[in-house]
Amino acid sequence: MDDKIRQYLAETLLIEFGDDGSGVSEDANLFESGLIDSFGFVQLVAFLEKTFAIEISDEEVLSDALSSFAKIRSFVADKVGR
Amino acid sequence: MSAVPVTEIRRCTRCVLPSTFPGVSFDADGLCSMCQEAPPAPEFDKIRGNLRRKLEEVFAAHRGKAEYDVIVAFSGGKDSSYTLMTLARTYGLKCLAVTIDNGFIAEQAQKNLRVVTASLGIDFLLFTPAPVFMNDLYKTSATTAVHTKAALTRASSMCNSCINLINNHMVKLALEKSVPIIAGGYIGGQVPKDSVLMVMDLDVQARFRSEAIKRYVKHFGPDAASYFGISDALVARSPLRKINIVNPMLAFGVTEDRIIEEIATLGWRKTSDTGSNSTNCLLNDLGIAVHYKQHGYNPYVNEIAEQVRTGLMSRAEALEKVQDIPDFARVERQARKIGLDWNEV
Repeated sequence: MDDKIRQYLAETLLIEFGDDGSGVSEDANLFESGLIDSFGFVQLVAFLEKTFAIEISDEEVLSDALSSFAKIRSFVADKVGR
Repeated sequence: MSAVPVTEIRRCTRCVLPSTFPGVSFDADGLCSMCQEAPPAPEFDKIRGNLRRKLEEVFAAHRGKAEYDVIVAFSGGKDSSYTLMTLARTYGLKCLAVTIDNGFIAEQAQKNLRVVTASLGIDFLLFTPAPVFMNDLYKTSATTAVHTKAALTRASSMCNSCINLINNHMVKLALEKSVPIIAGGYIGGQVPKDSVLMVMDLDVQARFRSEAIKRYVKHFGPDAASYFGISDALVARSPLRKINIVNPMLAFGVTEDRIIEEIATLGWRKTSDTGSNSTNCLLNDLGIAVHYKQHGYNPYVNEIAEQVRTGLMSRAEALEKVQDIPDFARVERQARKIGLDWNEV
């Protein structure tokens, strides 16, 4: 799961993750850092729902749950019950 | 970035995507990673058929319930002209055509705006943002990192800024007039896959807008807040909570020749001064030249490659388009008009 999300974000947002200053931190807010736009976010939600067979509600979309790689990973793990 | 001569760039053997395109890789046969994942071209007919059915459902659900069924972002170029014609004639939608005059609409394209809307009997609105703001927007976009890396794979920085301003204006009008659908004339590669139909939740959108406005104000100055923003009061007084954003060209599957043939029946004529990749904007070639200098690939290559991949354009025709990188002499006049020094790019 971790690898799929990481690969998706890296490929679609054209970024590399890395906490040693060489890339984007896993905790970086994707919105505030300007890495994702509204198109990208709509695609991300569709990708997560399809890939992990989960439903993401409007409230969850509006929450902070999908704002960074670390939060997305935790959110999906909770949803799929791992 | 020092650009490699465009004719020497390694390209996908199927779709013309270059090795300089972000994130692309090639297999032993020279097929790019996007083509490796794509179905064969004939299968796209079935995919487009399914997309058309999705659109028809949305049109049926909203037809005749507001002053206009759909606002069409209409540039006067071939794709938005065809979109307008099809939505009005084939789908019987009551359209409001809306054009943003960026100060660089070619003379023939200005005639096309009038003749197409008149032939179709469609209401037409023209909005002209202050030229001083637009010129600065283009200059800043050419010299500053304004957009996400992903957005830059779909269009040049200058085009992205303009497109975002246009999109925001369309949403404002939709809210003001309670129009449930906004249509764009974007084709494959200009917008993300799956964007033939997107439902825009205004609350979700507000979140992106607030971040985006901060960025735009930082780059383009305080006036950007009105061009890229939507007031809470407007959202609050509109009955709309969601707006359907459609890009019907992704579902139509028509070749460029066919499009031009059909819209010619409305009186539309091709421009001769807008370069290989635009049929309305005099600034487009400058955007391409700047993007190529900065990123090493034609900003139209993604959409052109997608046309080839989906069977709507020949590879030879595509090569001709993507290898037409304007030199500075060709775009110097436009650069001067927006106050751009080539050395700043």
